Amino acid sequence: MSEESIFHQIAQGDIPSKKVYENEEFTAVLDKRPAREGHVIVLPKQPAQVSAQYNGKMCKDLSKALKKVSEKILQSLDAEGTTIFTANGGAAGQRAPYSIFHVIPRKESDDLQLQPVPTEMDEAKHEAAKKRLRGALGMQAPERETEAEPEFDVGYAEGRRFNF
Amino acid sequence: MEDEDVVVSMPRAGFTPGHVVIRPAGNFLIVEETPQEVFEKMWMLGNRLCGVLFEAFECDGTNLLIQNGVAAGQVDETVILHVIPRYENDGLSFAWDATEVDDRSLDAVQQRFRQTEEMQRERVKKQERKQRLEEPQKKQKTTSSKTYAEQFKRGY
Repeated sequence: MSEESIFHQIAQGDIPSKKVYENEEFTAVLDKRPAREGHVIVLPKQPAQVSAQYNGKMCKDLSKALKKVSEKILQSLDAEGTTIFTANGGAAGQRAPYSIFHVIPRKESDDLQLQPVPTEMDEAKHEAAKKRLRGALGMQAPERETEAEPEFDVGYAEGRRFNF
Repeated sequence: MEDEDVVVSMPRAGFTPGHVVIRPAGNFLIVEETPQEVFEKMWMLGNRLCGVLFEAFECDGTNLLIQNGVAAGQVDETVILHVIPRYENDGLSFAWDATEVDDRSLDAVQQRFRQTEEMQRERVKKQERKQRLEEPQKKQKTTSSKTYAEQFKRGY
């Protein structure tokens, strides 16, 4: 059986798993190959390859599931924080074409390497990148005087491009 | 450059080119403090931005990441959802060593989750019971403070 269909069957409850939470669109189960004890994976019940394909209801239920699972981990286990993570695409580390989210219990003393180091972009590259994103969102460049402000008007962008 | 709930921005120091961060407009330190409707909006945007970055930055993939708590690597004063474009051989890695565990240890973890749930249910029940017991007393209290107010009005 392919890995993607295994994930689908776990999400549907067709193969036994250690379920810790469930709502209409998602199932959360304990990972059999945990990064740390208490590592939970959150799976959509309707198959999706990447999370960009989730519809509105799925995003809603995903956020509920992640919040609930993270809270449960902090309350029940010896954890000081949680890492919430997903990979979309092989280059990002995705292994099977089935979108899954990880919620991993964290402790300051653990040795998980999940903290990338940021690199400073030079000013011109940064401006170009912002411009490119604004272009993709179908947005106008902001007024010059708002330099210290964050870069995008989410409310404005939503009506223009955020519906795929 | 924000709506009433969330702020989207592109930090100059990102993990990869095109790195976008989504944070709540309000001050919420961790996921557990963030109101559900705000958290929901963050994920709605995060998932959609994955598609936008895919086209705009021609990336080969994306990671979505929340470092929830200092122990998870959080450095900012608010909860942040990172949308990280990924490129072949970009040098970034989120891999971990995974070792298969047996059913017994999974059962033990599941049991701990259940115990917390049970405790929470008990606490809610207790609170409800307490409220029911306190209600008649509350009524009394209002009457007495009313009486006090009336006395006060009368120039007592």
